[in-house]
Amino acid sequence: MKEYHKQIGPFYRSQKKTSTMMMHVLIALFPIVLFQFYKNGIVPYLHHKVGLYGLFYPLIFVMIPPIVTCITEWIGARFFLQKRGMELKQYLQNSYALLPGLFLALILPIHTPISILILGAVVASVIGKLVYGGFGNNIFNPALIGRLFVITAYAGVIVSHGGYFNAYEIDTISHATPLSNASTIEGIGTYQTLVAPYGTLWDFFTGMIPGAVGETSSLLCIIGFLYLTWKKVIKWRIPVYYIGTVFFMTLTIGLINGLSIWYPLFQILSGGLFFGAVFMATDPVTSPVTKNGQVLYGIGLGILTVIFRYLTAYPEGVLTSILTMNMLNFMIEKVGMKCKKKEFRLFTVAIVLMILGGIIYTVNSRYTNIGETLDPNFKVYEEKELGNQVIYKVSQKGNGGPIVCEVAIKDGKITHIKVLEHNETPSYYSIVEKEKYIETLIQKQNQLTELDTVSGATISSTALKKLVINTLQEYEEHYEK
Amino acid sequence: MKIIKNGILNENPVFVLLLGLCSTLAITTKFENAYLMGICVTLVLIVSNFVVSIIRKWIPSSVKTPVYILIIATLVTIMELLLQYYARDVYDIFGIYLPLIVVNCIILGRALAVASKKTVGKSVLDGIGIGFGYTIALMVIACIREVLGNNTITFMDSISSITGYRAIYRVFPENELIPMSFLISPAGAFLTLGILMAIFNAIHKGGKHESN
Repeated sequence: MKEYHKQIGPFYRSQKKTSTMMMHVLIALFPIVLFQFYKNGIVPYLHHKVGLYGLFYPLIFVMIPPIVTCITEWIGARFFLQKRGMELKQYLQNSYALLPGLFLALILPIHTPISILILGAVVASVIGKLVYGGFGNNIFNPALIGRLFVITAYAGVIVSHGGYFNAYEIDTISHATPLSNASTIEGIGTYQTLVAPYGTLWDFFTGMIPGAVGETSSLLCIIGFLYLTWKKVIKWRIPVYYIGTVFFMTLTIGLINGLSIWYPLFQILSGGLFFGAVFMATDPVTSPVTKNGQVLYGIGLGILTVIFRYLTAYPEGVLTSILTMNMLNFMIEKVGMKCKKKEFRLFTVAIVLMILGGIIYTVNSRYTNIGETLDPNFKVYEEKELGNQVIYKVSQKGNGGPIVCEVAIKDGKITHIKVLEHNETPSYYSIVEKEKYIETLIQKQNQLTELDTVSGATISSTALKKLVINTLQEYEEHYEK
Repeated sequence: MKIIKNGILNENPVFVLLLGLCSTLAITTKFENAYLMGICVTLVLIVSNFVVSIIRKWIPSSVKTPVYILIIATLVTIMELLLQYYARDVYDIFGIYLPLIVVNCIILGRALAVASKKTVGKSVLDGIGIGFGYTIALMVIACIREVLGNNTITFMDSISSITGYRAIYRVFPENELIPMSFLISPAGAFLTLGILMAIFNAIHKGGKHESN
């Protein structure tokens, strides 16, 4: 007599259990963990930036969340899922309890405090997974839920602890991560401003650039991708089409603006795109099963990433776009099923091409506008001369309307800035005040284009920075000639 | 007494009936806002239930919804004018959510479901019960959101011009995890509401099974 067990997806036509699949993913992640140990632990140690604790801190950092998620998952399964007739042992063997934790550690900044890391791991497995009914039922990638929570709730705290930079980078690189650096540059940027501050494109490829703990090395992600595809653990179409779409779109944007092949390479090698595409987007539970669906999913991810990078204030768009596509997964699955018909497939291809063209057009028109005309969000109300000092009353549009400031300039140097009124969200603006961003602006007024914005309050701080840049420009036009 | 208990537990407007969520989510960033809003809604609810219940036999059913809306709108306008005159600060912090009490579905819902069918006494008691239920729910949500999200708890701030006291307290010492500014944002409101709803229903239904 045969016995039947009720089980939940994902289903594969193979002899493999999900536990062996997990082993393969762990093997693929192993070089990445080692690499981040080298980058965040050994390199700073060799340069005498950190002590023995700092040497092993990266390893401790990636070990804590998996332990936490395993414990939470066990408690959740023991007290909630078991009541509904689920076999505890079988469930735990099949659920990837370790992986959300490990992924979470790899996509967070190295300076995330341990307490926040633990809370993030708990949120990842409870809100990302258990409330949906455990493994196989979750609609969002658990690790990404954890990261979203940590970043939205504690961006300011993480930045004040050091943010994305490890102890060595903080001295050698005075910029933000490549993409947030790119977003503060007016216009599309050049090789000198985009790539050169971090080394060469080879550094981008091997991963010696600032970024989240494990997401920087594209090389190791490609090796992991090849291994996992060989073992048939992940769906190869999603990463290939994802990266392909981003490459194609940025290539077009670059070519229109007269930039050669390095530009799309820069775009696909930064922002953890490879890590996201290979490991996060291919999560077996939250990505489509049909072949056409996978293609569409990959293209959709690519389009969203480009939109986030160029058209919003949040340049690190990879993980957000994966979460968004998770949400549309069921729809893509349906379209994917229908795509077996030839007419429907043509129709889908036509729509995708139209969206691609539309976005490239929007991005281009936006970027050429910024380069040519004066910032439309900037306004001069008053200009007074007091002795050799000139006092401007100016405003720049921030998140909640114009930020009105009084700026005093003496001999081409800003002597003080006073915010007269603003309408920014208090919780974000308080981060700007806490970081003493206005004082920093005055101090570093000669190198404003290189200055970081305050993460956690990007829009407000960018507005302040632009205000200063525009005021200086205004001053130069009137007085230097 | 049974009717009041029903309003707080079995038919809690926020956790069970899921009514009036717009103001619930928007106003609960401060403990003070929550109980003030609760009081305003409770007052409007009691009076509207009373009025609707008195005139219930004279209103033809084809026009009852517009008539009820008219009654509620009148009451809310009176409330708004009174607050504007006597408690300007409270009026200011409520902003658009004060006139929006008119379309708070709790009030119209209770008018249609209870006050138009039952006697005056029962309707008023229902108003008190539901009003309490709403106020308590708001206070719990606001308490969690403010304490964890801002590390303060505000008992009296905007109404200090009336009472003469200010009472804002810090709750936890300085640490990394709190304040969790995320909870003050709208997404945090949904999360808090969802979790509380789950807990409330789990406990409440658990109690029911035992009594059976």
